[in-house]
Amino acid sequence: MSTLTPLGVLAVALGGAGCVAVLECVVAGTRLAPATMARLASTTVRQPLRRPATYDSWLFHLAPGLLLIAAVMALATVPWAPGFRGVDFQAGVILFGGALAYVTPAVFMAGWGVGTPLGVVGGFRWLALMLAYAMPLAMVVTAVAAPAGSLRPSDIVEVQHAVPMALVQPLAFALWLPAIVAVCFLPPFDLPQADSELGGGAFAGYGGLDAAIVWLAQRVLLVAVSGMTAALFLSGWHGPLLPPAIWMAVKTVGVATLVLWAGRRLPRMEVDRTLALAWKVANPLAIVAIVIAGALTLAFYR
Amino acid sequence: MSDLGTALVFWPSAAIMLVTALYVFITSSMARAGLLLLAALGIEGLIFVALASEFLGFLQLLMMSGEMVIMVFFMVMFMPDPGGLMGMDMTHDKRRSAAVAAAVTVALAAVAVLTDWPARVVGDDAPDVRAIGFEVMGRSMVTFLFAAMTILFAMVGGVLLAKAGGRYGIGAPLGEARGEPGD
Amino acid sequence: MVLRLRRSRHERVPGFVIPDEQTWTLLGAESAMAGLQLTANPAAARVVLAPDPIPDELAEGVAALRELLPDDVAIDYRALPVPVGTRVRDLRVGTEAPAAGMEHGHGEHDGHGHDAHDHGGHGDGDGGHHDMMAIVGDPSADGLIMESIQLSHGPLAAPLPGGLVVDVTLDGDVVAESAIRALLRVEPAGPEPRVPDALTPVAWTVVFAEAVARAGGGSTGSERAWLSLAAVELERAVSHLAWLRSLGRLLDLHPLIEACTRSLAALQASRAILPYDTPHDDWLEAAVGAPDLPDGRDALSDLVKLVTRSRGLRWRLRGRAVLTKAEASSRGLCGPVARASGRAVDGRTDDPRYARLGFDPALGTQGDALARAILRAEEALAAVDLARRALEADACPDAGGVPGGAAVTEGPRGPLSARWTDGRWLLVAAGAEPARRAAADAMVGLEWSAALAVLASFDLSPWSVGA
Repeated sequence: MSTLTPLGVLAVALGGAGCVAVLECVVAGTRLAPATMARLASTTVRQPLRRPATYDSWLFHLAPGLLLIAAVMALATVPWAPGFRGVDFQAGVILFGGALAYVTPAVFMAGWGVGTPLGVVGGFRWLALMLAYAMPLAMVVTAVAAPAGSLRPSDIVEVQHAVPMALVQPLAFALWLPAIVAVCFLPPFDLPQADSELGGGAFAGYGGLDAAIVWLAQRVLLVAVSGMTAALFLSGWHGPLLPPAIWMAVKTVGVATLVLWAGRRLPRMEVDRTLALAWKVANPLAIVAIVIAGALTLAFYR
Repeated sequence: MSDLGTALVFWPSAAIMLVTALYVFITSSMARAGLLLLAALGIEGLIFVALASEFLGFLQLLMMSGEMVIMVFFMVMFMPDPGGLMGMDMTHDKRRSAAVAAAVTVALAAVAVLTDWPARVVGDDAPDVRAIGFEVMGRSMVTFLFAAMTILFAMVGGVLLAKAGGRYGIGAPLGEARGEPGD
Repeated sequence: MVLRLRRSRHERVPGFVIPDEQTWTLLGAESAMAGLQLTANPAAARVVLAPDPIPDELAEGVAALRELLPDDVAIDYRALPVPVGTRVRDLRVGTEAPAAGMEHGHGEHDGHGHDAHDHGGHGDGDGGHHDMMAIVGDPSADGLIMESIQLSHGPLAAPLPGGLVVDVTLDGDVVAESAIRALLRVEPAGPEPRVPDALTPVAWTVVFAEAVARAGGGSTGSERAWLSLAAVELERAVSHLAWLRSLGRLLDLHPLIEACTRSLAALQASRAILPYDTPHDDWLEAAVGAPDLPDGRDALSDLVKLVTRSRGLRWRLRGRAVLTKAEASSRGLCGPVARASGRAVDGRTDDPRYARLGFDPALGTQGDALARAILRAEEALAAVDLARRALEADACPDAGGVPGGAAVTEGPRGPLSARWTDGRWLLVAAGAEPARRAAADAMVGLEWSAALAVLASFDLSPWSVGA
């Protein structure tokens, strides 16, 4: 990790958020209108910060910042190219999981802080959702790290130089994709801020810079999880002809587009049915995925 | 990290940890208490990272966020006045509990200060993941298994004990449809 | 999994519509909402559309909404093609000369003064100091004693109809008690009939015309009768489509929203309800418009296929709020809600004109929320077919019925009847109040999003009609 890494990470964060905004327009079929988008963005940021009468002081204003910090930390762990591996810690994927874990208190604080009943309901729904996605996410990380024999993201990329992990462990990949959509609270898992059910829910009380930070943090989260998906499951920067960074960019954009497209096709998940699915289907299957990963490791990777 | 760097991280972080931990007991809002505790334990994770134990540090960060929020969840579920708005006095049996708290603090401080901890300088690339893996899968496996089971039973058991009427609650279980005939 | 990159449409600006999207669609102002990306969160809205004048009952809701709007957004008041509560001109019983001009009827209304957003505090319990160890209160349905949240959802809670207020007691995020109120009301006054439900203006106008004819002792057989029938059926189709679209918005199911918008565009192409409401031929032709019925039919059959096969809809709605046939009868439900439970009550079965067009009522069997949605989609398709056949048909048989009796028409939510007796109008929208009570009962015990989906499946009207 060099001294330029933080700058690089921030550049990827901001650039990635812009790309995601463009992707959202493309997926939704609306015309790309940079002028309108810039105008909407500037008017949002210039509005004064809102404090609903029921808000709970520092929790309310702390939440967007925590969300953004969590998103940027998660992004920092993603290895983009052999020359720019982010903060390539020995236990990098654990840091990825840990950073994503801070989305939970951030959303909860936003919901609690806004103080309206529907906001609190939004915050608590997020907890229920987190119970659903967190365990499969952590177990799939284990399943992916086992063949590589390491928790360092770039080691996991290197072990896929021949075959991507998505082909070797399709079950783990199938469990990973819903979990990463859930952690970004994007549709169909946009339970905490459900527009039509909670009128904005946990994030309804934000205006001005707070709202802009929440928007940015959500986009950066999507870039981070898409990048990590490409690194852990789609062979990262390996690929013929094109330079490694381009391959990573292509794969990341592909995953992000898939996530956004799926969000537009599927209705919002319901908490009780999602939890039932998670506990009765996803967790047992994740354990099976770990067993499969262990068998594969012994057979092929060592 | 150099000695100076480690010290620069360690001492202020430890101070902040103590302050936030103290505020956990001063505040009367459940949510704030839980989140302050999260802050304290999160800083502990950062201290681990500064002491070159990355895996433990990241794991601490990872686990504590989910755990603390679940704890707040349970507190809000079971306790009266979770928002702290009614100014209820949450302490009871004051003198005895103060005495026990003081005694435990002194004992723990004595252990921390007076023990001859093994001091070893480890480099940045010490394979702590491997070491921890062998430790967990070998010597400490039974401990961790029992600890995990105990926590799970405690949580489930706590909810069951709190429910009036046992596992199925009061009256008939809820079905999806609830329209009774007639007005 | 084919990723279809559609051709770009207009720029989408986040917008909020008062009272709701359905009202604007049914009153012929769908095009005013073009270019808007409707959002249910007022804080995110950049454009707010409101009818001019706004019904008085919504004044408090609008005031509360204003506080939530961003500072640089002002409410854009526009005159709708059919103002709310319009008097049906040139249609009155008696011999007085018709008054010139139009009036917007508001009449007296009860003071349903209520905050649109009730802030339930976290720590609000029984009040006062209670012993730490004794958590007082009744246990909730899952056996834990918890404090509940009182919430008044509405009256401007998109995508539910504007004017509908749901008073719930939330036990966490599960509904423990629920009561539904329809705030909006038009008081009938005098011999000039006023449309009491802005969501079905055409059906009510046709009913009034027939009631006036009966009061005058006339018969209702003429060329106009086919036009009336076509207009009522087209309004039924538009009403069901607008409802399906609002359901799509609630569930955030974009394929459904887009399919409904396509069908509505095909049907509403030139459908315009003109401000003069006398149901003579010109007005009826305008209510029918010059829709491209074959195109509309294609879009609608695609939509019916989508609704019946959509796994997303099935995931959200199947098995929710099951109403058995016996329950539907005992509660006195009518309209699509009853028909989806298997109770074959349709005002059109006894009508010889419909028999002439080959009408066959659609019936569901499951009685759950999914069945209601599928039934309304199928009814919309059947309605377009009926309208086409009615426009192609010739001489119309007499509808029959007792002169001086009540005129009844099957509206999109149930039978509507009007009768002029004792110097006043007697208006009945049967099944509306039972539907509200059934919806409130069905919400209990469900988690909030499931409860809202169940509430939406009843297609409640926020206008209370009658005594």
